[in-house]
Amino acid sequence: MRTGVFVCGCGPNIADKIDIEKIADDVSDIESVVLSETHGLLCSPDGKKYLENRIKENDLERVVIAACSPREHEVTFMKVCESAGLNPFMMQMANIREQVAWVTPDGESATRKALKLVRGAINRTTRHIPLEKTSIVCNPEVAVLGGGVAGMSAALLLADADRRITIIERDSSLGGNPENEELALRLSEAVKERTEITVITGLEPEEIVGFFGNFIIKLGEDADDLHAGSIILATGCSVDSDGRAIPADGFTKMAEMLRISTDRDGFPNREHGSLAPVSTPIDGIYVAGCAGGLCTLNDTVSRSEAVAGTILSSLIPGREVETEPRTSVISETLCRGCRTCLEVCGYGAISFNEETLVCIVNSILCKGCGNCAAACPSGAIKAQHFTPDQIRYQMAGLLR
Amino acid sequence: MKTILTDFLRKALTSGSVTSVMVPSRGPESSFPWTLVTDVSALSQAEPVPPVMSIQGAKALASFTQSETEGKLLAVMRPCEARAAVELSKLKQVSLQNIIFLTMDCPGAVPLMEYRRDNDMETDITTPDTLRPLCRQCTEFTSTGDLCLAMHGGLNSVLPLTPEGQILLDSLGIKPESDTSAWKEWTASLRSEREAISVESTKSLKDAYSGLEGLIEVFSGCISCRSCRTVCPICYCRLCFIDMKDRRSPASEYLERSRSSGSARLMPDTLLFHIGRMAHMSLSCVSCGMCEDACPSDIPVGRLVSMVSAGTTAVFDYRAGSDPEDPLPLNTFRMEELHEYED
Repeated sequence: MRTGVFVCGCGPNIADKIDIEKIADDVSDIESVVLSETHGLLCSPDGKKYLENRIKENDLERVVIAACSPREHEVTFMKVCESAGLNPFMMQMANIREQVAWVTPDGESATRKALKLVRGAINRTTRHIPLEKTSIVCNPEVAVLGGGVAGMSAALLLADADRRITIIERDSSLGGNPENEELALRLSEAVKERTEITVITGLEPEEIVGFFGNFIIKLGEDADDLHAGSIILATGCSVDSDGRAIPADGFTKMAEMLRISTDRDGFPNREHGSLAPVSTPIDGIYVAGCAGGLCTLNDTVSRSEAVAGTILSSLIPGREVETEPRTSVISETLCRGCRTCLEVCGYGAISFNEETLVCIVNSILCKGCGNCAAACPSGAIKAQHFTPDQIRYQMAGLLR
Repeated sequence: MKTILTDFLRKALTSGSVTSVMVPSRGPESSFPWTLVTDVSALSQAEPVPPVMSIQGAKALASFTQSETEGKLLAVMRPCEARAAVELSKLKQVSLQNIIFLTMDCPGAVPLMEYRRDNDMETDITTPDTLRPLCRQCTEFTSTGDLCLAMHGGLNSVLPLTPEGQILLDSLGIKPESDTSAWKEWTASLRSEREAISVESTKSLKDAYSGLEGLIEVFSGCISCRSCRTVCPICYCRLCFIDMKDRRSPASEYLERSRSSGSARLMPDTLLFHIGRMAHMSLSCVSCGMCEDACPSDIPVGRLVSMVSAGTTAVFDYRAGSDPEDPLPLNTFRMEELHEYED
């Protein structure tokens, strides 16, 4: 195994506190380490180029980068590995900035602690397994929840662009509670004429899972699941006894289902008040009409136009989204079907197979948070890239 | 006790109120295998409360009820077995739907080893010295499940404990004894006697084996047969963490350990196994004593786990096996809890 270790000075951030030369020197005699050196600022354009060349020149099979938090630059360095032809999951970062340089007052202890973290990372990479990134094509179809003026006008605009739309209306017919009945009637007549638009009435979503490009809306046992790339919330609002506008009945449940945060009145938060006024913080979920708070008919229509425009410019047919490769996998042999994992999964990614009596992970929905792996009483779930084996080797390297 | 319980089962089966009955029956060589009885005549072999516990009833129940059973099943079990079944239902290993539990004023069980030497042994609640150590200190010896046969305080009656139990009694036209005060007095007095024994036993365990050194000492006789795990009704994993391949260390690691102190213990995980089991089992432990009864090395493993369990369940205000609706503490998230353990 050919491991390369790069200790970054992060300008003065790390170098001022930690003796990075000593670290590079100390780990150089580890069996797998063929190269260990320091660099002033690895995330700079020069640094990235340097790293890429060193990986190529030395045929590195593992890379350990002692630098900042992976939250800051893990993606950066994974990309460098990829362009150097190395599977990005063969790289491991040791956070010697936030976890050491910035919090350990004494330089000598900081260097000692950093060395331990680097040794842990080196040992961990010996157990790394390449993971392959996959991408899936976005579904260009759109689901509209609520068949009032807002939902219908957005659907009609999208239909003009040849998109397929499904409107789900919990009442028995389209229309909602319009300010202008005549307009609502005209819109519902127009909707009926469009072959691009399917209308489902008398049903409500029971569960919504997925993400931008691939949502699955479950409508209960008697209806087929609906697949869509984007969801428009056009559920309207109502007025409470004090005369205040509140979200429509049942919206709170839906917001929970979609994991979108809400404001004090229960309306969905927007990604940005003025820059992204119809987008929720969750990619691919938009708010039309009074579902975002009471508004005039004019505003309703212009919000719908904004939603349709946003969807047409982002949910482009053929666009691909990358899925998370660090997902959980459940061993069918070890699973006892206790379904503890179902309760802790925040992404609706696990289901129970009634025939085999074991749980299964939908790897497209799984975000690799590891909740299930931690909760599984039977140790049947493995969080890829965070396997017990890898963690044990990291600990062993760290404690040696 | 045997006659009353068997008559009750016979009645329930004949009336058609239940489709099947689960009960230990007399097998060859003084054994008591669990049986699923559908024909009344087979009840002649029934031994509803055998002198020993060879297989925990909940384990037998879980072997075939992960999915819902067909028709009503009346299961005769000791209180600790019914409670283990409730715990297993929370882990989705038993489907409680359609199962009615009939328990009794449990006379306790005698140690398996001693029974093997003397097949004439009977369980007798009045001679506690003959019972298994955990039976001697058991405080949950009655009033579990849907129905309970009360046999003390002048009573001889199956009492309903849940609406399901009441429905079955009604359908059989049985009127339970209404004056249960003497029996309640009997249970309260036995419970307080047993509590005192339990306190005494915990104290002597703590005195004898305290701290890490104490744990190493008490488990030093362990032969790693893992019988305690095998017979435990709650231990339900297909592959135990201790046996996982990931945990195996290569020779280089042993050599390194050996070099640093001259020698390294091989198979060094005896203590990890037992502490791991305590951590995994203690919230659901029903103190049935199966583990201790199975231990060939006479380790008080049941009393130890039970003692740990008393501590952990108290933290979460949880009683293993008492309420099927009460969620497992480690599967529950509360915004506000356990402040006393912060920092």
